[in-house]
Amino acid sequence: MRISSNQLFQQGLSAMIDKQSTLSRTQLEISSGQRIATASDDPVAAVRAAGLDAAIARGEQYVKNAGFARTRLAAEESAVDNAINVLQRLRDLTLQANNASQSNESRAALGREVREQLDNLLGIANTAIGDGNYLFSGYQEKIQPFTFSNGVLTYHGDDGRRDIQLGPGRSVVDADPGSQVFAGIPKGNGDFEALANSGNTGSAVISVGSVVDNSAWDERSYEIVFTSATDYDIVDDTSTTVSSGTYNQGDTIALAGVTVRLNGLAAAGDRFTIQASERSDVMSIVEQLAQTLETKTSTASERAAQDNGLNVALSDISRAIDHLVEVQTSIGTRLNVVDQEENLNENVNVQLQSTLSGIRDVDIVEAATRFNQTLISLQAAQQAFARVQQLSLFNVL
Amino acid sequence: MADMMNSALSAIVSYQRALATTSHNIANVNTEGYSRQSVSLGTNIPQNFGFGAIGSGVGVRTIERQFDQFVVDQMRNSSSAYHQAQVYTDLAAQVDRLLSDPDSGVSSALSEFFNSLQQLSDDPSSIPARQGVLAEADNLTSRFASVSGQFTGISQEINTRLRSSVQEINGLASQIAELNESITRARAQTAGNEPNDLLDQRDQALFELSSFMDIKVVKQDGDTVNVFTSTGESIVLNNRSMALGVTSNEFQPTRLEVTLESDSGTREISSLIRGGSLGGALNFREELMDPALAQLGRMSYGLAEAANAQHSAGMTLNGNLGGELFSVAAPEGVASRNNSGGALVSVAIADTSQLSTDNYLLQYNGSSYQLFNARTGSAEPTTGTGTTADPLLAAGMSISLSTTPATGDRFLIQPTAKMSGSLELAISRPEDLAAAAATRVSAASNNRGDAALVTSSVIDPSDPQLLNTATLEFLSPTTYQINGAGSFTYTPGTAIDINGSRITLEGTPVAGDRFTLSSNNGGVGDNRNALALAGLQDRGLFDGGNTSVMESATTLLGEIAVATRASSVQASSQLSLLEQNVARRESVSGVNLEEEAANMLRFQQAYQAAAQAVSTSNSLFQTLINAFR
Repeated sequence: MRISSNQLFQQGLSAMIDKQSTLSRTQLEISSGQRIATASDDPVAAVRAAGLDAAIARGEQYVKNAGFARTRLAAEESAVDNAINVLQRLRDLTLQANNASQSNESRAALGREVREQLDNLLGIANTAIGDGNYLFSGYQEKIQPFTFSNGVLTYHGDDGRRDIQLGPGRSVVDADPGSQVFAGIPKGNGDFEALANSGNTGSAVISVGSVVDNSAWDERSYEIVFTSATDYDIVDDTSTTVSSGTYNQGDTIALAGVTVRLNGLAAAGDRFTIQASERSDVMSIVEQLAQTLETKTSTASERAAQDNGLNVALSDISRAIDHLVEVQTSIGTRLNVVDQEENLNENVNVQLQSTLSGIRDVDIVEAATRFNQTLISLQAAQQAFARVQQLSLFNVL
Repeated sequence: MADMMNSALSAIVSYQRALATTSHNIANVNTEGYSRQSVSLGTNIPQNFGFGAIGSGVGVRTIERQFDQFVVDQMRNSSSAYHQAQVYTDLAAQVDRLLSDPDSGVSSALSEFFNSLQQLSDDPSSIPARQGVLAEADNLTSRFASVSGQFTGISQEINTRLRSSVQEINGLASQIAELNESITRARAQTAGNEPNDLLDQRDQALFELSSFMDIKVVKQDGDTVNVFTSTGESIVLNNRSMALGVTSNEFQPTRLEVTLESDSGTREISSLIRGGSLGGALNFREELMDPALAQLGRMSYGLAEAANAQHSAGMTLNGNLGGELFSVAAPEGVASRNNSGGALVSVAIADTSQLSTDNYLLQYNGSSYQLFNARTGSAEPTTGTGTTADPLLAAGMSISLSTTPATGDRFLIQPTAKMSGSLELAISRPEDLAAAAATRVSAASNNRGDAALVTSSVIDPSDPQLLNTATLEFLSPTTYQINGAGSFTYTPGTAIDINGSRITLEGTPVAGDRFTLSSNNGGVGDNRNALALAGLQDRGLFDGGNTSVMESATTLLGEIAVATRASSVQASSQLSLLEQNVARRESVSGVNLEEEAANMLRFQQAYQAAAQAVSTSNSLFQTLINAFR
């Protein structure tokens, strides 16, 4: 084919320009480490990479979230653990006090320790972490959750629980409100309370009792009313006598599906109440114990009242411990969830990163080889151009 | 002898001409559009004798221009296709680069914004975490603004291109018209000989014109060419050229359109221009820029609408209701400046999930309105009469007119395009970020049942009773009253709506159990609203609820990338086609210096031989003269 001089020149030139542009492109790929400089280089891969970038950023955020949740849950766990230790100490003190060998003075001494432990518990319930954020006040974390005065615990927080997202559609509650950790504890045996009337003149002490027939227990309140030292009526909340019986010391009395045991001598007019468990809080339970210990006793009926009080305190403290252990278990479960989700997110992120790298990163060996090849062919093109341009018939005329 | 002398002289004259042509070829080796010329020689009329005819030398028949009309036409076609793709790629690549870069793209900023809300949900009362959200929100709005600003810049660049292209086209068109005239004259003067250099100049001007737009060239009477756009608008007729011009769009003063002045007046012909750099720029504006701006605007609006709704259902650190988080411009409707009536159009978004990314033209025909998609031209069904009380409803928009327009009046409806760069953060103090829900529910401490709160959220932030305290008290395990009144049936797990809040309880309550709904004042540790805002990342806001704002951003990235890629592939394939055609033309018409050198030698030798023939003829004559002495 006939070739014009211009064409010969242009061909050589555009070959060099092509090689230069390939060279510069390869250089960019090598220096950035990425195959895709702009989305138009590979639109499908670029769109996938954008999606993966967002997924990775979100996965990293979930890992951060898990870190926050773990900090708060660990703080809550340690507070609840402390509270359980205090309550166990208080249960020991109660058992110690519930002993005939104790005098009024020694009981008062125990009472002082109970009051100290009460302060301790209040401190735990008002635990703050970080920059003055209270752990147990629900949403109102800047407000001290509990105040305790005149034997009455006031909760200033709310029932708010914060969900922390650990993954798509997966979240964990990072702390429980104080109203559900330190309060809301069912008294007695958890189903009902067996209480002695404060005006009892006999020395009978009532046990905590238990529900023996769930279907018969209707959660109403009943009174065991002694008409004499050996006879009693069982009266329901509508003042109707539902049954009567005779009492011997140590007898188990059954009513409405529950049984309680009485020990000691009853007197006519003595009353014992069986009522569905009310909910109380740790501090009030401990305050009740302190007051019981601080009461001086001299008569048999006073001692019986104190024994009844200590029985109640013992079961209430056990309920409180049970309740806190439940909270502790739930925290432990949640900490496990946090760990699992964190691991999951980290693993997923490693996978996403490797997918992203496959899509976007340049194969450095391949790129370096390509760079060298292009360089060599550019040099060849330059030499060929120079040689061809030297040739001219005019030179030899 | 005289014959010999005449023949030799005719050869000398002819080879002088041939050498002159070779020299002309060598001189124009680098002239754009030059076609090499060659001398065609022929024998002179022989002298007849009884024994036969004796030749009487050589003469120049013609000087031919070496060219191939088909290749010249092909070059024009591939040039306009190449320039169209090239300009389109140049413009699209600017946006492509901006959106692909994680430091300037929209998707990365959206992802960071939503992550900052997640971060806030970890510690909602933290001022640094709140500042983090504000910073990311600010970053997001400026990304939108910068992408939209890039388009504004490109739009101005297109205006500049239109202006300068129109000038150049006019220059080339009038050059072609003049050349038409010169060629006709030259032909007449030289008794039909080809004015080779003028023809080359005209072909070159046509070639240059084709880089601006697709043209049709029609030969007339063998002398002149008429030039039309590929859609049939005449640009050059014989020795007259029509002037192109620019004018502002009838709806948008900052958008220029191309006009053509013809005998029948000045008309807008933007939509009739195909191919070339002009066609590329106009194509880009209509096919990529307009939908992309509308898409950006739709994302801005959808995000602002959803985030504002959620934010106003929340409570700030100071216990106030959240209010708006973002502000965004209103949808736009403009009347054409050519309208004879004075009706103004107002547009509102009726349903974000139904919004398209197109603009619309509204036309009044004297009795009813027609709505057309501005890009595709297809009619869009509407309901309503167009009054404020009964607006036209179509494609998620609600359109109303201030008065009845005159017949034929037109309006441009841009539901979202003008919102693209307008997203702004409406709050500036970190305290004003509503991370908490506006209300909370607390169970009474002495509840004996095991009914517990599952969730509570605000469903109607505009409820005037929203922050009032309300008490829900159970009368029995299956009935409850609110604020001591009424008796409603309770089903565990079913939502209960009170004062604009929605509460879900589960478990079995006991008569007397109470739950209190109240303002969440002081609930600074509440992260429900922050989580709900973060949840917008995945919520389907567009296309009937199928597309989230994140997906919109990647779709936009993908659309622009695909368009850029396609046009760049198109540009390089058209470029190689153009190069092939140029090579074919060069092969036929280009000057080869070796060939000219060889020709020069050849003609020089022939000239020398002819001169020798003159000399020989002379010496023969001398011999004869001497014989008679």
